[in-house]
Amino acid sequence: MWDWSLFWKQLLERDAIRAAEATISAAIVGQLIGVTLGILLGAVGASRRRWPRRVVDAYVRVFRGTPLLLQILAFYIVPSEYGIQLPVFVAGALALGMNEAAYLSEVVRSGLMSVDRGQREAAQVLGMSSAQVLLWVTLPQAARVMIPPMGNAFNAMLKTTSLLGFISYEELLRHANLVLDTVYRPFEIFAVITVYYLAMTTAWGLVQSRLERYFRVGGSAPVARRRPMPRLAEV
Amino acid sequence: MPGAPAPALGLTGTLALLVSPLVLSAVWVTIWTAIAAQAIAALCGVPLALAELSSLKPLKAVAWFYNWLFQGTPLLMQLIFFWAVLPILGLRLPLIVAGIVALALNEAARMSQIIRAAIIGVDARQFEAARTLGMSSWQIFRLIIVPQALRLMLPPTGNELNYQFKATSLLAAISVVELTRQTLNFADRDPAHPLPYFAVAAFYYFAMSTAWGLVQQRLENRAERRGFAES
Repeated sequence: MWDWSLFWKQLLERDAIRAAEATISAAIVGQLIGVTLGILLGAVGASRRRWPRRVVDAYVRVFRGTPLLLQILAFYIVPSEYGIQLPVFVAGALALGMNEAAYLSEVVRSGLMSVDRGQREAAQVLGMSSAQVLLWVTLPQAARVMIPPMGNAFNAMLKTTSLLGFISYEELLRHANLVLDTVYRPFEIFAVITVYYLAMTTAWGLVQSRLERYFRVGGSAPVARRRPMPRLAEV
Repeated sequence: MPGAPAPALGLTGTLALLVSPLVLSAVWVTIWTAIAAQAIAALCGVPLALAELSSLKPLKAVAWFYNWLFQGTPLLMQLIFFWAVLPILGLRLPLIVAGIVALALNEAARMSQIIRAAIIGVDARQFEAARTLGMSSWQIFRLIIVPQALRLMLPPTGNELNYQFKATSLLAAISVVELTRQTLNFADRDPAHPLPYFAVAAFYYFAMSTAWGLVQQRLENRAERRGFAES
């Protein structure tokens, strides 16, 4: 019943490898959008100004309150009403990233709030602008708390790219569905993409645990006595 | 909009859509599938959690493998897999059952972690006290651990149901007509003006998670009050 030769053939098929690459690139671009926008929104959310904070709250509510799939479809379908047809990859990565940003903004917000107020005040006294304070003082310290959830978010992102198959982006799951149309061997074909997905998520899990060890959370030793913090200014 | 034949829905049209039977029945499908999947997941999560906590290596390994497999691959893939293999296995289940099973098996992995954390969260001194009182293991489990673990489980499980309302949107992939599939169907039929359909869907998803949030709050308050009264 199980056909090994089909499994190996499908596993090493060029289209399968290309689909895996498509999955990874969508995940990376989505994550980059998510992290960038998440930090911006999180910084605004942690500020004391009321109106910007309300806008961020509304954003988070909208993106956390509706399914990602609905958002992806809306990003792809609704702009066409106004004559704008976003390319599949753009619509998909944008929806993934903006959805992720809603989640990460809360991570960033609570990370920033966990940094002792004295740090910010000291930096202000030294004459830093609020952008400088965020970039050089609060964000690097908040990173220790932010890294684990951001790593988990990327793991989730690797999997949620599968929803882009709905708007005909050729990632792994859509690839499997297309193959299934010609060769109806679901066990072998799904085993193939399972191998790819597990390889990605497991590999990322290992990277993540190294990252987390590097940015170890907790412990009472002050940050300065640990390894020097890498600069997070570019994030 | 070039060549748009039908006029946009407008406000009255959108309001009519909001209470149209097609939309309401899709909302109902979303609600009951989410609840069914979550309930099955909670049940399946119990043996998984116990296996994780057990001192038997093979049991532990099985639970670990289950979680690795189900959390390492996309839910949508699992869903489509179940849908695709059903005919091969000769099971003539309705589509929606396959969908609920897939949602539940995926969720069971998350639930097992919640349940495990809740069991661990029960203060270890409680075991010792119960032992000292001469209770059997089953009695300790039934009378000491379960009631307290249930209270610890309540908030995260509530959040999971909230997640589940949104996760059911993936059932659209196997053409179960829940809210997202219905929205897509509408958008296909009226491609020039998709916005109102998406707005209506978003409204109902909001309404579900908000309404459940309120129920959850009350449940948690009640559990907490009872907890204080008992202690």
